[in-house]
Amino acid sequence: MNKYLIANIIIGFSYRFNEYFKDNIETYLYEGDKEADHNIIVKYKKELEVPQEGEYRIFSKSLKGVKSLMTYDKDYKNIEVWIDEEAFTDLATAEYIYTGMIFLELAQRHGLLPLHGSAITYDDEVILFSAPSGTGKTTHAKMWHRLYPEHVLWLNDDKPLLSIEDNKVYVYGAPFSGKHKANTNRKIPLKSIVFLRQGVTDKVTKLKKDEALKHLMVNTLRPTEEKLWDNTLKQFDFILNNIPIYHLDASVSLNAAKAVKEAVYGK
Amino acid sequence: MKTLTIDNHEFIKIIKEHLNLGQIVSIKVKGNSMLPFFINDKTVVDLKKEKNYLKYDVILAKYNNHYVLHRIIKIKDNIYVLRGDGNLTKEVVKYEDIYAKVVGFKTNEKTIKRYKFKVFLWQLLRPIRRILLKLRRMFKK
Amino acid sequence: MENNKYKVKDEYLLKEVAGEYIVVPVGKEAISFQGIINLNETSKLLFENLKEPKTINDLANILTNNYEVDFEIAKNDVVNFIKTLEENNILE
Repeated sequence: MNKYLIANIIIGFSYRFNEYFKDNIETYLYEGDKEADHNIIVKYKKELEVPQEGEYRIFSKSLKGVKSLMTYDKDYKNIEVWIDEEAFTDLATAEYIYTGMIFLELAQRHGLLPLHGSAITYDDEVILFSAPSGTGKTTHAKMWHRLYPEHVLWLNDDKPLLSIEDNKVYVYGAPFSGKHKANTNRKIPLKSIVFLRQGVTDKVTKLKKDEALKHLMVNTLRPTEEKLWDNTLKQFDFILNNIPIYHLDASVSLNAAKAVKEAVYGK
Repeated sequence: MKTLTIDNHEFIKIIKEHLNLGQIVSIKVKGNSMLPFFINDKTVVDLKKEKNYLKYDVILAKYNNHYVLHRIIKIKDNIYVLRGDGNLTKEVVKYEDIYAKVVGFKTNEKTIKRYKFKVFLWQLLRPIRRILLKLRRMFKK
Repeated sequence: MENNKYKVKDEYLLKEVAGEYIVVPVGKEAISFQGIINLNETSKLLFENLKEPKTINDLANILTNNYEVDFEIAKNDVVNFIKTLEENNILE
C-alpha cells in the first residue's frame, strides 16, 4: 500500500480504480520513513453485512441491504471502506466520493478547514471561488486561466483545504479534486475568497462579516463534535478578520473574471 | 458611598486594567457633551472592551491627552470620527485609542438596556449530504 | 403551554464567532438538524437560561428584569422563540 503526504497528513491509501487518481495522486506520493497517520483501504464484496463488533458507519443502504459502510478504529487510524460491488453503476465514482468524504473529515480533525470551491493561484497567491455545486466555479476559474495564462496556475478544483499557520491563511491541494484533475501539491497563501452566484451583472461586492460568515458556513464541512466546531469557528473568526471576502453576481463572459480581478487587486 | 477624587490618568489606568480582563466597568459621567442621553454627574455608564466597534456606538477613547465618551459617527479603515451627541465639534481617533464601548447606562437608578429580540434560523444542506444524494442516482435498480 | 417547563437538548451549543452568537448541533443532532441559529444579546440570554428547565413566565420575567420592555411583549417573543425551537426539535 502506498503512502501519500497530503496537507501535512500521511495517508496510507489502497484503492481499486485509477480513473480519478491517475496523473493526480502521484505528486503526493510519500516515500519517507514515518508511519501513516491514517490508513484507508477500499474493499469490495457482493452483499455487505453490518459488522458485529467494532466501530462502523453506514454510508448508504437500501431495502435490499447495506450498499456501503466504513469500519474504523481508535482515532480513525485504520479505516476500511466496504462497497457492495453490485449496488452501484459507477464504482469508480463511488470509490472516489467515499474516500474523498473520509479524507475531508480526517483533514478537519487535523485542524484544516475544507471549503467547497475552486482555487486558482494568481502570482502565487490563492483566490478561492466558492459556491454550491453546478454554479459555475470551475467555469469562472477557467476564465482566469484564459485571461492571465502567465499568472494563473490551477490549485484544486473541489475541496481545497485551508490552514492557519504563522498567523496567515494557507491553501493546500489534495488529490480529491473532481473531474478535472488539475492539481498542485503545495501550500500557498490565501489572498481572497469570492462567493459566486449565477447572474448577469458581474457586480462584485465586499461582504460584511455576518454575510460572509453565512457563506462560509454553507460551504464548509460542518463539524459534528464540539471540539471540531470550536476549531472551525476560530478559523472562521481569523478568516473574517484577515481575508477580504467578496460576492460576485457572475455572468458567463470573461468580464466576470475581470471584475473580480479589479476588486481584489485594484485597477 | 465614599467619594474619591483622583487624577484622570490614574483613573484611566485602573479602568483599563479591568477592561482588559473583559470586565464591565461602571463610571459616572462628567460633562454635558452627551446630552440628552447622559446627564452630568447623574448617569452611570457600563463600559466593556470589545473587539469591534460599530457606527453609532458610544465609546471611551483617548484624544489629545484627555478622554472622551462620545459616539462614533463615521468609520473608515482604522479611523474613527467621534462626536458627542450634544456637541458640534468632532474628534478623530484610531482603533488603538479606543478603550471600551457603552453597553448600558443608568440615570436615576433605572437600568435602560435597549430591547431587541432577534432570532434567525437558517437551513443548510451539508455539502456531504448533497454528495451522498448524488450517489443515490448511481444506485443500480 | 403556561405551566410547561422547557429545556434545550444538551447537544445544542451556544458559540460566539466574529461578534455573533450562534447555536450549533453536535452528535446525533448534527445529523438530523441541518441548520444554524443566529441569536442576538437578547435571545442569547433566553437560550442560556433554557439550559435548565424554565416556564414561559420564567423566561418573560428574565427579559423584563434585564431590559426595558413590557411583560406582554416579552412573553410574546418568548412564546414565538419556544415555538421555533419546538418545531425544529431543539427542545427536550
